[in-house]
Amino acid sequence: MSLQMLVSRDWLRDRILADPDVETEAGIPLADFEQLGMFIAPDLVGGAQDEKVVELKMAFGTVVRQLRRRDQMSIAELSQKADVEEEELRHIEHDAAYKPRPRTVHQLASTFRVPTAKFMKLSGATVTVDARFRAEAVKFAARSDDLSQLTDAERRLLNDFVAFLGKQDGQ
Amino acid sequence: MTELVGVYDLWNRHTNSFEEAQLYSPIAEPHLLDYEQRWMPLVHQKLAQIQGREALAAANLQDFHWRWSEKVQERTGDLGWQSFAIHCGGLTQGLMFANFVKRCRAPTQEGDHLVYVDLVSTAPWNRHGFTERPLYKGVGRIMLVAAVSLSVQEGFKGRVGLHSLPQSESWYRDICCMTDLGPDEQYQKLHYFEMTPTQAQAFIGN
Repeated sequence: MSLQMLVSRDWLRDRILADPDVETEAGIPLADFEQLGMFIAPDLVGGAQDEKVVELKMAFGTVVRQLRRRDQMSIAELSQKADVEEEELRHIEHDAAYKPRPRTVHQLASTFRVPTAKFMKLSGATVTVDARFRAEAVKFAARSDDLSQLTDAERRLLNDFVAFLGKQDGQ
Repeated sequence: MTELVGVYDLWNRHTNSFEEAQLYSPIAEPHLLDYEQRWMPLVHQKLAQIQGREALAAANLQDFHWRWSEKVQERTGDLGWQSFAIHCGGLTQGLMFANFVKRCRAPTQEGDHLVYVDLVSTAPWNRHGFTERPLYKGVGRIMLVAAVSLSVQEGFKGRVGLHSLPQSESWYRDICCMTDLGPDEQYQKLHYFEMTPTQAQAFIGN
């Protein structure tokens, strides 16, 4: 249902003119959160987002798998260390359509020491329109392979991508 | 799909004149783009100038992110969750998120439904704290009117609740005449404010 405002345009003009010049912010301080996308469910942001979200989630599954292999953990061991469910980890690593729980994404970010906000974007839990972020994630996923042990090249690739995730926005 | 709620005006402090502004709901990709590409770079610049707060911000960041994202996911497709954007001068100038999940805490209306404002924020260039010459005035007034209007439309009689940032307490207490219920230990000790039906009627001039 469309919102019906209770006042007229003229009424608002009069009040705004008379209002003192003070701050009016409420809720989370703007400086204390990084991405507004976390407030916006993906289905509120354009149809074309779906394909992009799937791409990012594929990259998310790949980076989680590669980080687990880097740290020489089985899924069971990662499940225990991160305090998340094994079945969910399997879905994350192998099912791009799967929507991980934000708590799980937070726990994995903490375990692997990756910025939580970036993991949230990668997992599709929050929305991003950052084209460069998406391109880097897709490139990383495309170049990663599913071998039992990481090769030196894969390790370098993984480290480079983790370093990219750790960079500040705008840098 | 975002809809135009109405056409209003923001006061341009530089030209001392009103400019046409559009109020949209819900927030959509263009607003998100403005936020990520125009608002946040300025916020990061400001953060980098403030020594000693980065660690605290990072700690809060971690705590808030998974909780807020979890709330958004819970509400996907949930009709009790609304967002608004104000567009003026070719850019998004203000954002608001509100929900119908919480209940009143003020003794006179405890347990009643209200519209809780999760966030209302104006673009950095409109703020005194970010620039010596803030640009537009009026985002807060328009957004609170929207919240009250939404509350009435939902049958909540104008009841609104929010946690004010410290620099905005006088606005909500003295200008909007909301009830200050004091610092909230569960919310970074921000002051929690509520508007009663009587206060809502006075606010919109009835």
